[in-house]
Amino acid sequence: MSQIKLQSSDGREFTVDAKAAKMSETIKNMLEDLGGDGENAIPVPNVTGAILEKVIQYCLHHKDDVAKPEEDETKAKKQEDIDSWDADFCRVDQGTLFEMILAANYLDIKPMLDLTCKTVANMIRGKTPDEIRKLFNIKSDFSPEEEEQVKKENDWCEEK
Amino acid sequence: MSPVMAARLRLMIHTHWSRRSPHERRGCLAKGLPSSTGRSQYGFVGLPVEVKCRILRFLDKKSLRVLRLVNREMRSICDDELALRIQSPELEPPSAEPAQPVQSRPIPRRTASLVATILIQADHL
Repeated sequence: MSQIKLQSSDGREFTVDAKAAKMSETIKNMLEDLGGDGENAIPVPNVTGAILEKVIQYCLHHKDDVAKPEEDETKAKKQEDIDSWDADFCRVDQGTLFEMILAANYLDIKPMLDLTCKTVANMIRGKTPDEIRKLFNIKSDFSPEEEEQVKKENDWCEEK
Repeated sequence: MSPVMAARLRLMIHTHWSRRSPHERRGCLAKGLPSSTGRSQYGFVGLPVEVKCRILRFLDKKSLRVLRLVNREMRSICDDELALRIQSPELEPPSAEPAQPVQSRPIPRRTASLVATILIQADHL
């Protein structure tokens, strides 16, 4: 079976290279447990067609990548690790980026989850709390006293 | 789809749903959202906690300290991550700081004046 079919939550069907689809641990386990016939589409109920298309694009590009050993995790954290294709892939609006994170999490595609999380981390880095709140539309639920306390804690643990 | 596959899928969806906290499930139900579908309309706030924690792994301690000032939830998960970093410093991302633009080093005054002399002499030739 070299091709399998996936069906998004909005009913769109995608025929995908099996190796690319198996980058998703969720789909891989399902195929191993049940054996797919390649004819019936596997429903992916939590992912819309537009996002599934992005996921497939990622998997097709990375399907031949050599799996990184676990001990190499610290290396994977390096910001420079985002290559130009991956950076372009993540150049999407915020809503799409978060949908991609949720899809990568649900489908259990670790490298894609790391890439998208790294992109969000890069958006956060270097910003003030107010800028972060504005960027992600987060409301502060601190009371003025609490906020003062957190600031004090930060001053206390600030490295000199 | 075979009945076995359908049953397996139902189980997977159920497992995915049951991983959510009662609070999250109530939130989804109140807004009529099935399972995780549509969660991203809440943006960063709507991401599951495990995903937020994963994002923090790519941040250095300085950024974590800034992020803990954002709200109570971020304070709580940043504090957990900072505590982990204290226990295991190797968890700190090796190159978390944004890449600095390459700046040309200032030319030492003596070298600069020597270069200027050579250029003036070359101009005379």
